[in-house]
Amino acid sequence: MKAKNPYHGCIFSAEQLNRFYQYAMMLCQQRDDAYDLLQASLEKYLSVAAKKQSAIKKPEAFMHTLIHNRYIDYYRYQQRWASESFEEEASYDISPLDLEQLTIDSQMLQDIWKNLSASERNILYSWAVLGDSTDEACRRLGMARGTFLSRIHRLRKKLKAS
Amino acid sequence: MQEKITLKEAIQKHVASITLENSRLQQLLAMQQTALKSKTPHYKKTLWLAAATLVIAISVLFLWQKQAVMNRDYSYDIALEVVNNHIKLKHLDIETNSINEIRRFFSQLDFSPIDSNLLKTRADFSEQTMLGGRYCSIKGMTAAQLRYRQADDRPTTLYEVSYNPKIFGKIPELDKGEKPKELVVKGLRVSLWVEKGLLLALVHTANEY
Repeated sequence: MKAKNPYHGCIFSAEQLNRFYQYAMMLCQQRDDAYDLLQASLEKYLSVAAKKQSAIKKPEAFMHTLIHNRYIDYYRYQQRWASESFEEEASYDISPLDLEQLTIDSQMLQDIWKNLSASERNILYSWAVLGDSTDEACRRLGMARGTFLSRIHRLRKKLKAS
Repeated sequence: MQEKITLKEAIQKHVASITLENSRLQQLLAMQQTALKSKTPHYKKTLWLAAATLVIAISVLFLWQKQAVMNRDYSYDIALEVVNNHIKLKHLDIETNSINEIRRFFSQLDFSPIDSNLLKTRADFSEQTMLGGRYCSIKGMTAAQLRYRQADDRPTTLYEVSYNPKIFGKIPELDKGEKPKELVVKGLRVSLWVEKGLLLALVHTANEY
């Protein structure tokens, strides 16, 4: 009997790889760093797939998690991942409508984008590109709901000020 | 002045403008293809190697143990068992001085009792001196015990059992020109040898033979 290929159904297309790269770029802001992050995460992904493919139920989501975790590991090591206080008890305006209604021009975004932290860019990517709900974004980012909402609140203030 | 769009659209446009260089994209695709071609992943190779090593180790152990059993010397155990039987001198199942009657009687054996070539020449093991026989066992194997009366009236017993080297170990074989193994146990002399596929054990007083 022919052995089943452990990678069957786990190989990513060029389009998917490009999306992962966009995510890595969103975190790193540097092309080389983003590529290294993507390559290392893909290696890890293939290694996990070879060991136990059944453990990967959603390949794309798993790959996003790998990129995210690897980035945090690296920057935690570098002490560059901003630590923010846990503000579960605070009360915030959490309506997404406000954020949805914000308008901006491309150049302005470019300027703001550079000044946002990786954590903030991650939240915006999750909201705008992946279309995550608050709960989905919290799960993906490994963030408590209160922390996530407090960041949204600060982000909104920052964007409005800009 | 640039046209204003929603923040969401602006982010989507910004992200979409990021593309991976073709050379790097090809490298990543190639990396996946390399993994795809490796049909047997590393852990499976390791598993196969471990399984093969285990099978070889078990085979070697089994052969070694088998060889060890074949070469093990059970002479003393056999001698002690037949001497203990001899000392008890239990009643005979059949009293006869005919070897043919003996053969007919021992129908439950998986062999036919023989007239040993080694003892044929000796007058004290002729049919005239035979008293009879009884069933017994040596190392759990059903055996025939033949009893003879010596000139001084003392009994001598000859045990015959189908020879299996795995059970009885290595015993000298008369057919190969080897001499019987002699042991003295509990004041009695025991001679052990293999003849015509049977293990024979002769128990007699230590000062004779």
